[in-house]
Parts: sequence; C-alpha cells; structure tokens
Amino acid sequence: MIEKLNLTNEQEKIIKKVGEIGAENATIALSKLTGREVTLKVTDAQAISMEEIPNIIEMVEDTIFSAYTPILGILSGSMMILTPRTSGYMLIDMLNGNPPNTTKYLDRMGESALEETQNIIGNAYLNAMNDFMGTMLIPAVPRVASIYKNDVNALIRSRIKTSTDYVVTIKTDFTIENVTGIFILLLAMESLDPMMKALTERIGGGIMKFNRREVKK
Amino acid sequence: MAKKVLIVDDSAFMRKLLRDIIETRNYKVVGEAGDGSKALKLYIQLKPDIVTMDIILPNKTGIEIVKEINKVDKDNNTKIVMVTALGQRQLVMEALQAGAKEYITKPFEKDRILEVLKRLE
Repeated sequence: MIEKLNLTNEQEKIIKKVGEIGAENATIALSKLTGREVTLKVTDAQAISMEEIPNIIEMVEDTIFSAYTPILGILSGSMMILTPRTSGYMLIDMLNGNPPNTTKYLDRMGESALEETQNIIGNAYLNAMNDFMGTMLIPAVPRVASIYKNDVNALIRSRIKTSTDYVVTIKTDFTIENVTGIFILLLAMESLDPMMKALTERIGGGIMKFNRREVKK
Repeated sequence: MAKKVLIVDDSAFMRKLLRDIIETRNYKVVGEAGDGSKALKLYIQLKPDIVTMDIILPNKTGIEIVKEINKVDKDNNTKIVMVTALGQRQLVMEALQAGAKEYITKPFEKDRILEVLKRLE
C-alpha cells in the first residue's frame, strides 16, 4: 500500500487538473514530434513519500534511461521521462528516422533525442500549467542519465529541493507503438501554496466554486 | 545565391533536424551553436542572413543573445527566428520586442519552418 499524504479537495483538484491538461497538450506535442499515434494516460496524481516513488514506477528492465529537467519559477520541482533501455533505443531510432534496431548504445545524438523528448513533453505540461494558473514556469536545460531502476529514488532526491519527505507526483504513462515510458512531474509540497495563490489570483476562487458545484451533485 | 543560416540550439538532435529541413531548399547552414557565447562568436564571424534561435540554452537565454546581437551589430539585416518549446505569450512578446522577426513553437511541422524562412526573404 502506497503511503500518501492527505490533501485538501482543492489541492487534489488542482493536481488532477494539471495532469489532465498537461497530458492533453503533451499528446499533441509528442505525436507531432514522432509523427505517430501516441497514448498518454495519467496514472497517478497524489502526494506521496519519496520512498514510495520506485513502487509506482513499474519498469520491466533493470537499466533505464532518464531525461530530467528542473523547473524554474515560483514552484520548486522537476520533470523527467523514464524509459526502459530497449524502448529508449526504439524511440531514438524513431526520432532519427532510422530503421528499427539501429541504435545499440547511447551516444550523444541519442542522448540529445531523449533530451528533446523530455523538453517537448515537459514544456507541454508547463505551457498548460502557465495557461491554467497564469504562472511563468520555464524548464532548465534537460539532461540524460542511464541508471539502474533501484537508483530512481536517489536521482529524484538529488533533483528536488523540499523540506518534507513528500512530493506531489503526477505520473503519466506514454506509449508510441512499441515504445513505452513514464513522464513524472514532481513538485515540492511547498509548491502547493504558490499554486493555490496563482490560481486564486487568476480565476478569483473559481476552482472553489467548481468544487462546491461538484459536491452538490 | 543560397541564404546563409546559423542554427542556435543546445540540442544536437534539434540542430540536425533543422539543418535537414532547411537544406532541402535554397539555404546553406553555415554554422551551428549550442550555447550563447558560441552563437555570438559565429554570428560575428559568419554574418548569416537568418538565425534560428532556441530560448533555453546553457548560460544565457536566446532572448539575451538576440539583444546582444542587436547591440554589437546595430545595422544588421539578419532575420532572427525563435524556435523554442516555450509557448508563453509573455515570452513571445519579449522575443519580438528584442528584435526577433518570427516565433515558432516546437514541435513544428517541416512546412512551418520553410514557410517562415520564405516569408523572411
């Protein structure tokens, strides 16, 4: 059982909304980048202990590629895609227009293709959040690492500054033909207040009204 | 004569993609830069007709580089096209005010790049 933190209705609503609109934007962007049909599905949107993150990431291979980007702006967070090594190679071939099974190791051009994928998906989320909340969040330059799946936790801890052990986690699974991967948006718990404030300023408490309407149903 | 293009993007993958698209028409990619310092150096050295400029780059942003280009070369006729994954209206305005002529959001269609380059001729 995943250890999670109870959030208020408003906080939960915002996190889910960010996931929904981000995935919608990212679907369009990733499809345009690869020229293929893509499926993105938000499979987790909650505040969980960082220790639990490996438990929500189901990777079929021990070695995974990670492309990560810190978020700059009023929120403290990080975004990353994680993909099993085999899927990573297939994605690199797809993006470079190579025949399947061309890529056998991760070279600089392959890293760059994965960084660009992270850049495109991450920005689709940030653009959606900026539109939704009226914020000005931008990504830093993305980086790629090849890691063992057991090291995901250490990677995440090194990429996010937070005073608690919990992080807001929005996990989206993506599929492009045989390529599978995960996009994770992680926000420090301290980011919830600026998010609520930005939203309140943006829509004058509209989210609260939205919640009340839902409760009546 | 082919117009000279300088590509500024920290992603080697994106630089190759842009080069492959741009060189399908009568343009010659004369240089590629992955960061701001190299971009400025190549700009001065190569005097390109067109620059494609990313925004998120190591050390300084693409918008800062556009401002620097305009500072070091006040009479330049170079057309700068921002090519970036960032789509915020505020950034688009800032880039255009700094002197960029066009703003393309990644990911882009091949035709969009060629259409913009043609418009700038």
